[in-house]
Amino acid sequence: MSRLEISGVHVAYGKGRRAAEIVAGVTLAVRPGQIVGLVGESGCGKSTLARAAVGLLRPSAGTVTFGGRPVTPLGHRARHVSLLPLQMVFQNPYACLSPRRRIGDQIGDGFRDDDGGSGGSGSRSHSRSRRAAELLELVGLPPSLRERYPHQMSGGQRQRAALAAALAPSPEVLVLDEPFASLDVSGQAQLARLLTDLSGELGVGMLLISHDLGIVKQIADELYVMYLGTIVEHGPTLELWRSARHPYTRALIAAIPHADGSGRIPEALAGDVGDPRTPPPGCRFHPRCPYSVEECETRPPPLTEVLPGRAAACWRHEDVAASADSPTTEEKPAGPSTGPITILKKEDR
Amino acid sequence: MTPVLEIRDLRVKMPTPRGHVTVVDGVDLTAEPESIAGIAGESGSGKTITMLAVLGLLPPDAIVEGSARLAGRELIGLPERELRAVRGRRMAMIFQDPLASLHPMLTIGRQLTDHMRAHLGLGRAKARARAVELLAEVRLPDPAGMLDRHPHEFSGGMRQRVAIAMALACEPEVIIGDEPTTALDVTVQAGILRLLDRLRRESGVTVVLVTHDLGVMSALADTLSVFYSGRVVETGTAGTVLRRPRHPYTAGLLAALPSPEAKVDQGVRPIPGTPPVPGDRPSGCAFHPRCPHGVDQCAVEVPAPVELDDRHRFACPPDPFAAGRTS
Repeated sequence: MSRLEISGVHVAYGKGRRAAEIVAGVTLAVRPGQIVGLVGESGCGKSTLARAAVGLLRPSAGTVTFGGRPVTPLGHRARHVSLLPLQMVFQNPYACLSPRRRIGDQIGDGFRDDDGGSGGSGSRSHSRSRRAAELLELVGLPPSLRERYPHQMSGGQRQRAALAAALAPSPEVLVLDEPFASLDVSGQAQLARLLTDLSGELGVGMLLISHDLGIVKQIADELYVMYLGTIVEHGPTLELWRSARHPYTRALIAAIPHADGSGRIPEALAGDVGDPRTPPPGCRFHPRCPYSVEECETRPPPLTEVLPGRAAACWRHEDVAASADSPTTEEKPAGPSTGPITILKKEDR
Repeated sequence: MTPVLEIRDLRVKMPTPRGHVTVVDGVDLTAEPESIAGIAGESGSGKTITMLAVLGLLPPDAIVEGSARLAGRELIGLPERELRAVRGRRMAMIFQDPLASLHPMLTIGRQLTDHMRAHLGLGRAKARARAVELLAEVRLPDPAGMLDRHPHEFSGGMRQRVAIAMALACEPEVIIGDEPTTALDVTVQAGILRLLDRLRRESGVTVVLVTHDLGVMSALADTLSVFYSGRVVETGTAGTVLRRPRHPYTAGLLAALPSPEAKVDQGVRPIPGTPPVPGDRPSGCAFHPRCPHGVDQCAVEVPAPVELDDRHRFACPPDPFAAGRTS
């Protein structure tokens, strides 16, 4: 049974001719203990979807439910207590931690009253402090950091402290927006390991949003690939990685540079993510797609099951599956264009 | 071949409220003509400070010692007047955020031509013609039409192409790219990597590429120097350093990267602990508190570099990854 269910969600900004549908019909679900990766280029609407998923934005259509209850923004009123186990970790830990309060106190804010200890207020505050220390240890920080202010910590420490604060109300589902973005290589690896442990040991479900497929594919159980507001492909991570059915998923995979010392330059994808105010007709990816045919320019492909548990939105997914590698493209102008397809290789060293 | 850029025993002390703190400690670096010299390391390792010191862009109360020669000419200690003639004209820099190096209110054409008129003394028409050539060179569509646009009308990838065009404008001997693709999506990054590779081959410019991304290094760099806490801990050809690292820190960084396969157990193996902050560097080998291969001497002696035949050097005398040893 899924805890978090996002069903046919649309999010639109602006009115009239300036209206832009940033999220254009997304359906996905997160089960307990499951890490669901959501990847796509900047501007594809993944952060907007994250905000809709936790009730920070009202979808213009579709529903978000958490444990069967609707997740809706409540304006200035308090969030319903039943939504406490749905927590978000923001991209910028500086923006979600108060600069003027100690980390331990900020983590303590998240404890639910029923598990904050019993008896007098003195023992409650003592118990809160102890539990804040436990959470800091859980995310790999020394408990002494609870006396510190955010500016006294490094970027990696702040990201972990923000995670500890999100863990305080014992969440069942965490929505993480680009948690790796502000971290160095070793910090990214440490966080990846930590998230895997939290989902495995505490059974926390996660919606992990990132532009970095390289790291997400390492820990996510399932992947959703988003392009210009829509899901273009989803399925189990390993299957998607090995045999993607959508040309955009293939392009994302082919663009990742590997530190193998081979001197191979990854494949570029020509053009830019389109403008959500004027999305291309037909398949939204067709202006950048090496597989595009006439049909793609007029009819939007539905997200359909291509294999058990796997779906792709591509008229030519069978042709994509049949081709061994993604087509190699030469360096092209940065704007949309369709140049000849040739192979450009760096000379061997 | 004479190196285009040769840095010897460079030391930088930066002012802090608690006095001067050593952030670059005896760095050696050589960039051969028409090569891409990679500098890798995590934030705070001193890689950016090293390049800023070479360009004379550090605050005046920073203490810079040692030598940095551009085609044989010493840059450290050069008066500001002469440095200004070097910067932009003979050495150019590309930053992580192209918006920070482009003026938001001026057209791309104005910014490109001002630069060339100042440094090369070109007339208005000639500078404009050259600007069109440059934008075509970095593969921007409709180069002539682009000249009248402002930076905000471009996407991130296109802006970085404009920044590269500006860096190329005066045909510098060296371009320093400081995390030039870090802020871009991988799909766009790959295009910039191809562009830099082609420019290096076609226009013979030497590139110093500063990035923490070893995948980017693998794609572009000919040589690779790995920085840790202000020192170069390993250097060699990029292929050798990435395939057969000999310093435990390089090996640790590579193991911490996502593997090429998805969902493998132990896919990422983090290095325990965190990098030291400048001013609080551990004694001896700065990596010893995090190193799984440390011996007693590591905490005491600053390790002397071990040199192998193929110009592969690493500062780890215990050499846990030597051939025949199990690590």
